[in-house]
Amino acid sequence: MSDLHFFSGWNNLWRPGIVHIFLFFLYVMNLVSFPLPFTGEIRPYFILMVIYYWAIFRPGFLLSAFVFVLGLLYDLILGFPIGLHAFLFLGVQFLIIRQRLFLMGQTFIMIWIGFFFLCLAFVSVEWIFFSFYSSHLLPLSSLLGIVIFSGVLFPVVSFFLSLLSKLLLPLSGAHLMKSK
Amino acid sequence: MRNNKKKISGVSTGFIQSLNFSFDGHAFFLVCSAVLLIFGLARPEHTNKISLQVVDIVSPAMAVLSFPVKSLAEAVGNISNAATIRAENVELKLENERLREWYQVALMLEAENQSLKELLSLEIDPQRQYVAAYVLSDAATGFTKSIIIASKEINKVNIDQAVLAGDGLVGRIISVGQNAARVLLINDVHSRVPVVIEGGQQKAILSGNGGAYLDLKYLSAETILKEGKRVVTSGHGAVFPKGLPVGVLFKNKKGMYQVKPYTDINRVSYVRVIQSENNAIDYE
Repeated sequence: MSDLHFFSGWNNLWRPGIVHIFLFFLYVMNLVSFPLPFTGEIRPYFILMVIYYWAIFRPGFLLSAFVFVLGLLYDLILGFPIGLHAFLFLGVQFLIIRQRLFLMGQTFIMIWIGFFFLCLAFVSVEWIFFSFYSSHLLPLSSLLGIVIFSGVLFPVVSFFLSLLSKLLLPLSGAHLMKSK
Repeated sequence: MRNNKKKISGVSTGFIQSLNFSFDGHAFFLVCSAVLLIFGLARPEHTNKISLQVVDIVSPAMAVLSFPVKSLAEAVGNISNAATIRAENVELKLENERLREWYQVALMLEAENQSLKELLSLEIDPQRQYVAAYVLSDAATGFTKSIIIASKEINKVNIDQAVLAGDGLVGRIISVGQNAARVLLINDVHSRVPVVIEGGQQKAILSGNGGAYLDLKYLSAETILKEGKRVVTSGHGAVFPKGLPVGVLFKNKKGMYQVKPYTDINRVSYVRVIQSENNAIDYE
């Protein structure tokens, strides 16, 4: 009996552990640019993909406190105005969780298109903020590249996230499926 | 009127209730983020300090963790460059031949220049000292252009020192911590570099615009520009030493003159921070 308890405890640890390690890997990926031809500076929004995916399929998994810390660290490391991405990431998570029942009923293509629009809206808000912040209209060309690159990579990342989601199935207690 | 007010307040209460902010403490953290953002915009000096302290703490871990990711990114870059390698190789061979000839000419001119300066009793520029550093995190995004560098000799690095990579200037140090320093790249919208265009010694201010090419500002009306002219730092303002190569003039599609930096700023892996020498001209 105690052995069974040990293994279930181990299960409770390593499964979310792997998911968090993958999240951490994607987070580090967001600190590195991808030198692609004709694109200049491209940094796909891996964190946005993760927030979007988990907000739809596992809304209780990424706690808002965790998203807040992710956003805060993102701002601090990349030298953005502190709190900006914490606010934006939390806003995205909040809005997607509000719409998750609608999105869950859609095909993957629709969810993918949804991500494209989300990414476009996210980048647009950033562009408006930084244009005001620097009193300078920033170039739009590289931003379009970010949206396209993030959108193209979304199916790959969501494939891995769906695998990880299955890992969490045995743990799908009330705390993971918590939603409205 | 009263009814309208009630209605409006009723609608707004209902709307707030419909948002159901109680979920997972979203409202609390959203407010925290907004407060931090306002505080950061009002007092950037405080948040910059915190930012650098965080970078100091995470920089050793980032150096280890970002290595495989950077390698992957470099591999992607190498693959994407493979298509142009053959043409590039031919061009480089030709350039190498030309440069060998110029090298001999440069050696002769350097010796001649030095002896003439000695004859005129001019102070000879001291040799520049550098601190080599590697790029820890590429913090350049579509909106801000800065990088974080790390070095064993980071204690020798100070604010406002010029940073070179490859053939030219890439930026200047804007903050220094215990383990790492942040560099504002010359293509950031906040970057201003006093420069001269070689030939006519025309002065200008080089301004970043977030893109790959740089804008020239405050050129005098009678300035005559020509494609291919070298742009170097003028030394005015006591920040950048004079004579650092920045880039070359070229005419863009709109017919406007811009500066193409010598270094591909988006792909910098190692940098040199200029030490000691202070050739800059301080008018203060």
